[in-house]
Amino acid sequence: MKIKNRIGRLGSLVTLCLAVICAALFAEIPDAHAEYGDIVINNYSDAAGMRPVIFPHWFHRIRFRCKVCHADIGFKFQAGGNEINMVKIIDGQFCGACHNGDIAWSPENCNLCHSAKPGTKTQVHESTIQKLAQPSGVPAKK
Amino acid sequence: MKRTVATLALAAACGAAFAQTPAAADTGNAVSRLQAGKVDAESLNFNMTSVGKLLEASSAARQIESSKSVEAVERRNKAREIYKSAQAALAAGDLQKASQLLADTRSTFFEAVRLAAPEEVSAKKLETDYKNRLDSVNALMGAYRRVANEKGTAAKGVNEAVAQIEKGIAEAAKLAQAGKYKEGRAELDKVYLVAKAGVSGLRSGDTLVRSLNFASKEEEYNYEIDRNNTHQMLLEVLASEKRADAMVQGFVSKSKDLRTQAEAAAKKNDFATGVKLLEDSTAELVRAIRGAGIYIPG
Amino acid sequence: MKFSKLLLVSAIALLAAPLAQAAASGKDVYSKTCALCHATGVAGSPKFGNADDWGPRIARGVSNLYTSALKGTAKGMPAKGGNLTLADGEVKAAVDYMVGAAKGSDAKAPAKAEEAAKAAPVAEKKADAKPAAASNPAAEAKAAASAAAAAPEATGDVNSFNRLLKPANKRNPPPPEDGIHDPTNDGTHALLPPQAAFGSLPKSNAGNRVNWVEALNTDKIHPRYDRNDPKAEPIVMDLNIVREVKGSMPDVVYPHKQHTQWLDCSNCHPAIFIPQKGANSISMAAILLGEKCGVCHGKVAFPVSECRFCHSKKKDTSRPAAATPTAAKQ
Repeated sequence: MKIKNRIGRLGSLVTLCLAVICAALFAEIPDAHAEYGDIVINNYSDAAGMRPVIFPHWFHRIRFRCKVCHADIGFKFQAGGNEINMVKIIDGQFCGACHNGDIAWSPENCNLCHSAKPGTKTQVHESTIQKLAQPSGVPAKK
Repeated sequence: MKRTVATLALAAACGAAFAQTPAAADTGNAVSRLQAGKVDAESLNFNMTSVGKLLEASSAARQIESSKSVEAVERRNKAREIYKSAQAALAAGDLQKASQLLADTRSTFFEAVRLAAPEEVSAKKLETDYKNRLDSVNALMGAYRRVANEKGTAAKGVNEAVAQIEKGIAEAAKLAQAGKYKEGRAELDKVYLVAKAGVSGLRSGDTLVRSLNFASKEEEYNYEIDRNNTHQMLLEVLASEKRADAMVQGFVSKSKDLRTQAEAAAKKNDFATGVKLLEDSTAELVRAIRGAGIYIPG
Repeated sequence: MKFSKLLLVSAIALLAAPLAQAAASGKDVYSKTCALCHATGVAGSPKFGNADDWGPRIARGVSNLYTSALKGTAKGMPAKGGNLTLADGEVKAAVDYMVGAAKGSDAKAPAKAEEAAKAAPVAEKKADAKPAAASNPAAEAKAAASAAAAAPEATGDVNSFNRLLKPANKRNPPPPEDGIHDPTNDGTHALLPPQAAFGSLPKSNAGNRVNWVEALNTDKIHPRYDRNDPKAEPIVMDLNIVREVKGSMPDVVYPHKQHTQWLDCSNCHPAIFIPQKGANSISMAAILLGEKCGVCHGKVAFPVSECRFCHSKKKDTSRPAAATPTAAKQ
């Protein structure tokens, strides 16, 4: 039987395993369950060929109170409504007020923020409006 | 070896800065984890393309081109050189070196952006920030005055405080007129704190009650419409595993009928009947929600 | 040959994960806590699945590894990987899992290292028998796949506790698995998984499943009030606003105290709420649509499924119908 048989079996086995792994991974897509409060920002990312940005509220509220970003730094309560771009960040506005290498890591680490699946729309993940507007779980633009 | 030491030092520094949650592993932060990981060829290729776009096509690149700063343009050219060598390293198969050079490209480019004097970029935000703060100061001051009136003689020093706030607002307005929004906002921040402390001092420990007193039946009708809408939405949100249950659907359709009747009555200006019909409609929705398995008070 | 076995084993492992018991298995503990360092070998830690790194360590005996994991080492391993809420057994299971993965090709080993799924050792033995190799593991994989797809949340055991509820290890998934982060991105894998941070925080039933107000009040977290100054104290105002509602629903009590611990006056006043009695008409419909209280609640702060947090003042039922004559009807 030897080599030909083994390669044939190996090939189909690998394909099957890959298919099955893919099925397991992608079964999650219509029903994404990232953290409540994760903000996906995709104003300019898709057009620029970068992955959209995900801002995790949970990580930040452990370290800062709401006031610091929303009153002091000037973030509006609106996903995608702040028109943030890299120039402003490098200049020290918005995210750059802390992500400057001093208070937090510098924005040269592109992929730590630009980490969403390409094409994910701007949204407040798992928000009530998302659930009302798209009860099937596919996130709607908000 | 040096790299490990540097990474550890960075991790320690970042860990020290954020040494708050006791249960969190002292594994530094995301950056140290990222740098300590092995370089993945696919990610590196993607990053190479991204940095290329950053250098040539991004808003930051446009900013540098449109600025008048010679240093910025020079620094950007330097970044381009480093980028070329990063590409060469990747082509030669040296992933580590390519990754390192890519990081250098980024930091050099960012320096260039900082040199490109983006006053035009921050100006608009400073103005918006100033306006927002002004709105807040005015709102708090209005509240302060009202509360002081309510408290009567119990409120001491209010007049002085209000005078101080008004003075601050005027100062800030002058600065804003001259285009100095940042300084204007700083002025406003000072009096904002006065207003905030003032209201806090007067109001702390109070309980205010907003009771259900409607000025007219029409107002009550509007309230009832909102309430009816709410229950419809609650049914969607709370009972999201939609049971196409005959019982639940029965309640929902009955409530829709009642609401249509209520709206018809309202058109004829018979708000009293409208209110009553809406209350019945909402009661049906409450039954629907309970039928779907969630108990809410009626 | 080894590769296909490893692939098969990991495929079964991946699929069998949802079928694992709710108590954290070695793999769960690994992916939530240990992977932080061991996935990429941070600070010289032995990389997951890397026989060269693990070989000498395994040779010194597994009980030594248990001790290192439980107590920490001078080289930089924190006790229990820094997650002190883990039980000893869970830590050991994670060590077993990592040891097993490093051994990888040694599929004949009693596979203690694989997680609780019975499918894994059975499939491996079948894979040894060459002629039947392709079809049996394939059938096994297919069966496991359909079972996993059909009931991703149910455990294998019909009598297990809360079998229809999503088990704790499926909530708060780490970034590469949460459906919106891109797992092919290198940055995604460096991000802190939420479970690592939430372990020690007070739990709640909705949103992030963390009770943030309690976490703040019991000093489990220390968020800054000022961007630069970690010691700045918040200006807290204790003012309750009671809003009566129709029907038998308890009245709403809005507490400024908990809100001013986190927020500043300017966050809400006057853009969202006018600071004047009678000036704001708030309805649940508006809140659900993301206005008024819904600007935060339902997006970042706890969602409106937690009625009692706001509707907390029971009506005095002995009182005759107040406000409107029709209130008594409800």
